[in-house]
Amino acid sequence: MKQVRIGFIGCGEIAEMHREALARIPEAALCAVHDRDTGAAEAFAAREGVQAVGDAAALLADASLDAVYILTRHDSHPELTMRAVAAGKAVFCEKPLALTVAEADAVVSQVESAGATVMVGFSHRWDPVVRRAKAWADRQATPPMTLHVSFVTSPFLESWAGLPDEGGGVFHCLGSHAVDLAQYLMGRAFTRVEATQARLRLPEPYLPDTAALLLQADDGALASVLLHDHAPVSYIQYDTGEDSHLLRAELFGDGWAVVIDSLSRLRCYDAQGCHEVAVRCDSRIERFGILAENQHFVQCVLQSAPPSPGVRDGASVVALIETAAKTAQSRWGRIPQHEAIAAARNWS
Amino acid sequence: MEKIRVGLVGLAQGWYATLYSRACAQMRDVAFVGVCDLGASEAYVQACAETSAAAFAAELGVPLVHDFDALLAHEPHALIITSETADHHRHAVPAIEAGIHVFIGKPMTTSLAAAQAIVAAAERQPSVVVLPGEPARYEDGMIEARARLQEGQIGRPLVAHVYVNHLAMTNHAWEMSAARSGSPLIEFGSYPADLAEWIVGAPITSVYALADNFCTPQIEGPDNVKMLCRHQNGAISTLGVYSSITWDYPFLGLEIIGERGCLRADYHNYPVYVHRKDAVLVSSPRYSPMNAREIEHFMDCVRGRATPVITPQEYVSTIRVLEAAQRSIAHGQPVEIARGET
Repeated sequence: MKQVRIGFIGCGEIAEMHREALARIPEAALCAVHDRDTGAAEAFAAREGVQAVGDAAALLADASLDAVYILTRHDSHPELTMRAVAAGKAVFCEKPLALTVAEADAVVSQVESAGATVMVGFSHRWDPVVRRAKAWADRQATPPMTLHVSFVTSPFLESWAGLPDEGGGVFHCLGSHAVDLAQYLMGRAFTRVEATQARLRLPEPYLPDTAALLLQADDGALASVLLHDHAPVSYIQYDTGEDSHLLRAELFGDGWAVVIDSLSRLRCYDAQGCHEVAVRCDSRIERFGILAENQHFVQCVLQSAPPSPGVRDGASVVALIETAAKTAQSRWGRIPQHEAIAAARNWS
Repeated sequence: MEKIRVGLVGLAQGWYATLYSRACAQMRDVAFVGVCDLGASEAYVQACAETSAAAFAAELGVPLVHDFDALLAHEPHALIITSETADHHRHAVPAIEAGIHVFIGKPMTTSLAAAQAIVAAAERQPSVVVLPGEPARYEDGMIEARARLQEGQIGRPLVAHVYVNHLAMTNHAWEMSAARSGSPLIEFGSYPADLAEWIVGAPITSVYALADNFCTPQIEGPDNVKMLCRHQNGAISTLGVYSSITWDYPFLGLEIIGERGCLRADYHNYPVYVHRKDAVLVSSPRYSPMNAREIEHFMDCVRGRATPVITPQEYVSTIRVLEAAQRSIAHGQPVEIARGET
């Protein structure tokens, strides 16, 4: 059996989840890792019995690798993706594809001219509960017309993720997942977006930590998105994903609705009434969609098939997020700062 | 002891009119004095209330009159106003000025000017009870959610998502007219707008809204609305008016994130959940007869035993939010709401 030989650039928390997923895919073999923190790469490599590579260029030049995972801070995603494509690799790039439209467009242009296999890690599309909701919606007689998504995290933005240059804050870290989910669940691209934001917990130099967006498609379909980084651990259940409210969604068509109440539970409504669906998973990587997205990527590499979501999906989300962030800055006046910000920061 | 004399003004909001009147007429200290159909045709009343005005008056054992002044001639102490929404102030203001207590079916008005006229009349007559209808204030899940917030279970609210789900009203032409009913944005948008301010505890100061009519082409205006709101304390909320599915879907729902936890509640088929760092607290689901509670509360206020849970001044705030949403939909811009005035 042909195996896809894989190298990681970036050995942080998300790399660990991808490692766990790849270990369950017989057609995949993690072979080498690099991190700009040499110690982190060496520890990861020693733990997994793979090679630690001292610099990214050397990993990309390794002709034995078929694919490279870009698992680094967000600002480095476009450059590393393009370098990997130039080196002839298939690429799995964590979301977001880029922090600016210009960078995302450059990636799309290069990937398409090279005919490269590049997938963007919008993992929550692959959550079993999201798949069930989407399948149920697709079976209805009328298309979805409105959606609400709440995408929330336990505090983690007080890190590089919350900084403008490296992570992009709440819009890019949380918003890119939520906007991709909105387009996926609605089956449409949004063309209009407005957003507002607030600084409710994090001080400067971190970006505002809370945002809400309204989106509209050309046919009028509407979505609202609520993003924040204030949820207690019991709400997110990040360690197991069991009954996690990391994301909640309400999707409506004419005479039907489906509610993602948690990552373990759907409520479906139609003319027959309401029925609840329990979605069982045996691991966090399954519940958070990490396993399924890795399976899809590996199969795409083996079959030279275009992955979905690909770079155009990634660029579409970057464009909406960039516009959302601009409207939040330019059309809503001063960014509110919660009066109790100092006290609020102490709760967790 | 003299009984409280109560009359009914209008059967346009037929479900409310009949429910409130029947509940009131059964109270031992109430004498129902008359039903006023405001000259509406039998077909109109039948479409709105699923009965005729004559049959309903006969059911209550009271006279049927056809104009407002004729009802006042029966010397009511209190009126239930369930005329067309755009007409509420035309009946409420003269009643208040005549010293008559009024309960006004939700929504109180379709316009800010009309709401302000009611407030002005109420301020000139401080001893008169003026209670705007707002059923969600009487719903157990919402009451429990607010109580838990006020106990400080999740700290101060920072972020909220609040929705109402109700099919657009299509029983009669007045319900489908934006000018006469306010359309779903006003008719049902009052629920999340009021709840968001009530529960977050701070007025909304900016609104951006998008809307469309997806599945009720017979009505004027949008049947689904989404609003993005900023509150005076910095909190953010998203409000939804859903109008595409039956009441199997929860009528109301909210998700609130505070400084120390999260709270979720749906309408009465579902419990209230409070998620904190250390625990998840779950309440029992309970059935809430919201509208019966509203009229019981009104009568308790008239009896001097209670203070209104919602004032017309608060309702002006709700109407300001909804008018701002209308302007935002029309112009595609966020709209700021001037505060510090009624």
